[in-house]
Amino acid sequence: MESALEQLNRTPGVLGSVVVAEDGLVIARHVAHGIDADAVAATVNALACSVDALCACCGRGVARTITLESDSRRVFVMRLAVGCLVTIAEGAASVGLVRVAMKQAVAALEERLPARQRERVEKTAVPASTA
Amino acid sequence: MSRLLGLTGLMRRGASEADSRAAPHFAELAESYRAKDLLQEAATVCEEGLKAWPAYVSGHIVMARVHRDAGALDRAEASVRRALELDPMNAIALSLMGDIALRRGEWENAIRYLEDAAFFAPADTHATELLRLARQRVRPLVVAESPVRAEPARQPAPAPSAPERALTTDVETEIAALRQQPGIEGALLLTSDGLPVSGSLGGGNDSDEEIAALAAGVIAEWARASQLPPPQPRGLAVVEAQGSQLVLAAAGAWILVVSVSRHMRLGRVLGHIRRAMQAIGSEPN
Repeated sequence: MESALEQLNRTPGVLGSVVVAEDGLVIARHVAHGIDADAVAATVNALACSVDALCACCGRGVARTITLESDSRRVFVMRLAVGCLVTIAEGAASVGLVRVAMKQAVAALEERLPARQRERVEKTAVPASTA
Repeated sequence: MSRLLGLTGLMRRGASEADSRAAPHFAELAESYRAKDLLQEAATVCEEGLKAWPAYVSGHIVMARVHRDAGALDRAEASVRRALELDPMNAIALSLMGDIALRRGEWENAIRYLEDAAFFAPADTHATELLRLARQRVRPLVVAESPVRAEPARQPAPAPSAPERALTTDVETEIAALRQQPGIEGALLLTSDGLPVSGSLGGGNDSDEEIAALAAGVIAEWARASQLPPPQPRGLAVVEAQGSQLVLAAAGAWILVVSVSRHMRLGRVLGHIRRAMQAIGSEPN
């Protein structure tokens, strides 16, 4: 799993990537010095929940990707079968390049996610949808 | 020419050995010929290389540049379109499309492609410069054709009509113009504390109020995530959902929520959103 992140981090401008579980805990990380992966995971998880609420309110379905852009940083979030992939990049990084690299990483990660985690998500999804 | 044949032979051998690392060499070689104005040689290398690696995007881009330099703009466009089929978000290809449109005098097309290029590669100074050039050529036409957009700054400001906050004419004009752009489904301006001020996302007042509250919550989470200092972050959040795309733009004490059709390419509308943001950012809190 970390090799997929390592490959993603070779994209110019990318500072680090984190795979975050749905409970906000880190599954895998590959980040530059100075980036607190645990803090990123927790805050991005909270952000994704807020975005989901907004999308549901607008009748737009589920958010698949979130891109945050400020003066100095870009943060990309892409949904996985379990949790999400978060990539932090410099403000000048190419959005197109990072997105393509992230899609490749998502495909690689989906293959490597433990089957037990997938089963757990499928089981927990049933009562959630019927509640 | 024998030198070229030797190189193309090498390239073919590389292909038969399925050595993908050899692929970039023909594009580099062709580009170096093009830089020396040896366009025929560059075209030959590209053609041979693309026979072996038809899906090599850089090869199509160099081929397009060669045709462009030779003045064959239709051929150049065909090559760059092939590159974009293979990689729709390739900033160099988008920039090249803008360049070709600019040479044809198709200013609006040029701006669209160059805005896309600048979105995907903001550090690309060439695309930025071409965009500046394209906008310079467009501005006189826009002013001549749509005096409504050019006039408001000279007119006396109308009485504030918004129930919550009075906005300047510039902001109202920018939001109205934004909502008229193709692919924009709705635009809602709100205060950072979640109160709607202007515009709508089309679901009625109650829906807009709920969306405004939730959007302010997203921006608050974003501020926490990016550890930005108070009072508010400045920037864009783009959410791609199943139904459509949402853009949240934060500027000072204001938040703009824009709903974009999922069939619309974001690069085409982000320029308009940024412009609206600039006007909103200068709005007094």
